[in-house]
Parts: sequence; C-alpha cells; structure tokens
Amino acid sequence: MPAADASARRARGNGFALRALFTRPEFTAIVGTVVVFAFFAIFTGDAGFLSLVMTRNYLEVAATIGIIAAPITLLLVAGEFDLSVGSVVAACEITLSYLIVYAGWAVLPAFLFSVAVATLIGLTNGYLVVKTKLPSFIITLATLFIIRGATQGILRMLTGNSIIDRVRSVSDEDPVSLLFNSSVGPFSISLIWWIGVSLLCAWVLQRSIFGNWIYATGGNRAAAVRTGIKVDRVKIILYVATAVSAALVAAINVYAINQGNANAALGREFEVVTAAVIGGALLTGGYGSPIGAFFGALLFGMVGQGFFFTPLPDVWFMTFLGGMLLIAVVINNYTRTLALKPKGGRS
Amino acid sequence: MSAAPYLEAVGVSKFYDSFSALKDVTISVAPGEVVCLLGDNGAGKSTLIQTLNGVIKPDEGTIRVNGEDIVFDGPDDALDLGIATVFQDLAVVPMMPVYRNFFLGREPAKGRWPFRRFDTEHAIAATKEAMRGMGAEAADVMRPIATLSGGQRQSVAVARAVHFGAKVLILDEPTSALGVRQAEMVLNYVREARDNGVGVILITHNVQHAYPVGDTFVVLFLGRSLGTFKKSELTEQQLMRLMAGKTETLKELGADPAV
Repeated sequence: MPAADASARRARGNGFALRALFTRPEFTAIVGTVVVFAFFAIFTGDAGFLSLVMTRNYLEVAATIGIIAAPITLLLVAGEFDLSVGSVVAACEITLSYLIVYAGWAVLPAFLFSVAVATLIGLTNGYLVVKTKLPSFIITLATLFIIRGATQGILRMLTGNSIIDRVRSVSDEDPVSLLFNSSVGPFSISLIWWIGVSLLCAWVLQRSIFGNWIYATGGNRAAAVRTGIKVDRVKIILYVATAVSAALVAAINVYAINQGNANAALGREFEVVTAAVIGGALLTGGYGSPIGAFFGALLFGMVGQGFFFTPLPDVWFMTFLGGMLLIAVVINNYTRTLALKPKGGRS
Repeated sequence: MSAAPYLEAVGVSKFYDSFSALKDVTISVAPGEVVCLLGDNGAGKSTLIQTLNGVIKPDEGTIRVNGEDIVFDGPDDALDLGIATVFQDLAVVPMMPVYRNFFLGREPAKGRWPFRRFDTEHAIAATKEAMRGMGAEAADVMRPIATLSGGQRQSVAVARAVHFGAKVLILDEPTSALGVRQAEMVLNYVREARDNGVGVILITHNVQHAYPVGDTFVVLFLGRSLGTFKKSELTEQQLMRLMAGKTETLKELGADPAV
C-alpha cells in the first residue's frame, strides 16, 4: 500500500481510514480470499484442504493465472482487452517444446525465441487495435482463433500430432530449466514468478511515470492525448507485456506436465480476466490493481482446488465461480461509486 | 496597461462558406492584464480564441507573439510559447488523484533507470501548494479529482497552467456552470495569476463575473468587435447593454459606431 495513502489516512482520522481502505480496488479480492480460505479450512480442512500438498497445488494453479492477470490488469486500466492470451500460451508451449525436443536447442535460446514469438503477437494485437480503432474485444477474439488454429496447424504439419512429450526429460540437465521447474522450499518456483510479476506490475502502475500514462490512457483518452501522452504506444507496450507473460506461463506449464500442447490453456483468457475483475479492474478502463489481481488469482486457485473437497458434485464448480464473480463485481462497483462520490455539502 | 502586449490578434477574420464567423477583430493581452472577451452565444468568441491558441488559422489578419508575426501550426506551437488554454472540459482524468492530474503528461521523475519513478512526494507537495486557498484540505490532493467541486476542479486547471509557466492563459467560460462562491474562488485564482504577471483572456457571457476582475473588455457581436474598452471607460450596465447588441450605447461612450 503506497506510503502516500498511509499518511493521508493518518491525516484524516479513523473515519477516513476506514473509507480509504474500503474503497481501494483490491479490497474485495482480499476480503474474498480470506472468506473463501476460512470457508474451505473450516468445512474441508479435515479432508485435506489445509495440507501442504494441496496448498502447493492451488498456488501453482493460481500462479499460472496470476502471472498473466497482473499485466492484463494494466491493459484493462489502459482501457483495452486481450482475449488471445490462452492461444498465446499454446503457441509458446509448442514453440518452446518443438525447439527443445525436435530441434535440440538449449532451454535459454528456445525460451527467448518463444518470448520473441509472443512479442510479435503482442505487437500485432496492439497495432491492429490502435490502427483500426475497433473494439479490442473483437480484434483479439479474431487473433484468439487465428493463433490457436495456426498453432494446431503448424504442429500438425511438423509432427502430425497436437502434443510434444518428454520436454522435461530431454532438458532437465540444462540449468536454465530450473527457472521453470524447481521448488523453493515446499512450493513451486512459479509462486516466485507470480509474486515477482505482480509486484513489478503494481510498481509500474503506482510508482512509475508510465503508470500515470496507463491510468490516463484508460481514464480519459482525450485528456491524455491533449497532455501529450502517446496513448497508442502505451497500449502496444501493454499488449506486448501481456503476451510475454503468456510465454512465461507456457514455459512453466511445459515443465509442470512434461509436455507442450497445442490445445493448452483453452479458456485461460476468461480465467485471467476473472481474476483481474475480482481484483478490482474496471473493463471500461482507468481503474484496477495488480495486487487485487494477485488475490483474484489466488481466490480462483483456492476455489478451483477446494471445491473438490466439498460434498457438491464438481460439475457445479462453474456455477459457483460465476456467482463469486458476480458478487465481486457488484461490491467493486459499489465501492468505486463510493470512492468517486463528491464530498457532500462542502465546497 | 503600459506593458507591451504579449499576444495579439490583429484584424483577424474567419469565414465558413459565405458566413463570416469573425470579421476584422483585434484583441491583445499584456503580461499582468485580464482581458475579458464577452459576447452572446454565437458571437464568435470560440472562433477567436481558437485563432489565438493555434487550433485554427485565421483567413485574414495576423497573430503576433511578443510583437512578431507568427503562424501557429497547431495548439502545441502556441503552448510552446506559453499560451495555455483551459478548456471547459478541463482535460482531467476523473478517477485519478488530483496530484496525478496536476502533473499529467509532465510527471516529475526521481531516481535512476531502472528505478526511475514518479516523484510522488514532490508532486503532492507542489499540488498542495498550488491548491492553497481553494478551500480544499491537504488530504484532498490524494483523492480522485472527480470528488472535487466544479470550482475546485477549474481552479486546479488554472493553477496547473500557471505552474507550468503559462505566459498567457485563455480561460473558456470558467465560471459558466458555477455558483456564486465557486465562481468567486476561480476568479481569485485568475487574480492571483494576473498578480504573478500572467496575461489572462477570460471568455464569458457573464458580465457580473467579468466586470470585477477585468482590466479591459472586448465585446463581440455577430462576429464583429464592438470595441475594446478600459474598465474606467464604461460601467457594468453599459457593458451589459453592449453585449446585448445595443449599439446606441457606443454613442453614449463616445466611441465610433463603425459597425
């Protein structure tokens, strides 16, 4: 939490402190995480929800969502949307796996190449959005299909298959693979990536000058342009950042299951946007928090894993998730209205 | 005003098809002077200021800055010469805190790459300083600017232009949507800017707001200037009648009713 806010709170006493806390974008996600954790701990703790294995499990699931949710939050704050991230994960999984298994590349150049592929996709997404001025929802829906199909098609041409196995087995001698495939204490290294990416995105949004431009781009584009901010460049950079985060998730996935899959991460785009929105991001731009998205992803992971310990049949998971999203959005909307309400009666 | 004018429009005209939105209008503003540009809706006020801030080019006549003829290629050219316009919609981002809006597009930096960052402390301190006398509490600079009153937002916009070195400030109807107290607050900011040597062009159709703060009055009527008057030359009532297009007032003032 920024120091400036802290000093503001001291200055205004307790009433203001409560309201300031309540109206922060990440408030709902943090409270939701605590509530959901308590719920599963109380009702399914004995069944194993509190075990270390289970904790490691849901943190891993949450990490692969959260690593993309943080930069996509910045993109949402800038007023744009990216539906293509799931396809980018698959494209990067295949790129990385093919280069390692079939082409015999070392892990580092193979990974850098997959990052380059992601960068190219991000540039394309961003360029199409700013040049056509069409809704990014439509543009990236198109690239979602294009990239997914191309990934499947190219892999079919190259190998006649839609998966590449034994990536880990081929490359676990390579020290670089430890970046994606090792443990830190009892937890997977993906947790470190997730925390690092979230903190970096939060720093960029809250502390850097670029962050001010992100807020302005989504908050009032005309004002941003008038004050000389290059809004198109801001958007393109954020599309690239989002795609690159998908490349990182691809590498983590490939090592987690020892396989690259052209059908990987189907529907991931909705999971990351869910995490970002639960975390307080506004789809119309100008508002959001990478820290909120962190807790949104954590919540997602916890619910996803914890649900299977409840007596409910697991087919009801989606319904539960949808309900949670709805509640979160309603609360977020309410707190945001509160935050923007002019102070009554005083001029 | 004894000082030489900083910004002048001399004999400017602007035509749209056969219709002349402006015809042979002259206006000038010197450092430390408040020039009120008055006129009813459709009198040509907006067209005139757009020739002064580089948004449009006049079809006839010249713009001068510091005594030299100049042709603005766009608003940036005017801004580079210290001619800042505060628009009615203010160019602020409603959900952003006041201090972030204050430095929008011109953010102060500290630290070295890659830790180069927004200098929050400086931005907050400078914004607090600029907002003094606005009836805002210190903590308000951290709040979204949408939570400020209309008068406070307008005052922030004026203070922002002055802070970034405006030599001439063009204010487009800054008080039109405001109540009495709020309008007074904005006008105090205008006075403060003037006392700091900024030339102000205040566009308004509200004589009660214009008369107390203005040094010089230019009245437009149907695209033509009814003249430039010093405050000592006319009363508030006469100014009001002029705005309504009652040209017999000009005879009363001993001016040449050339229109």
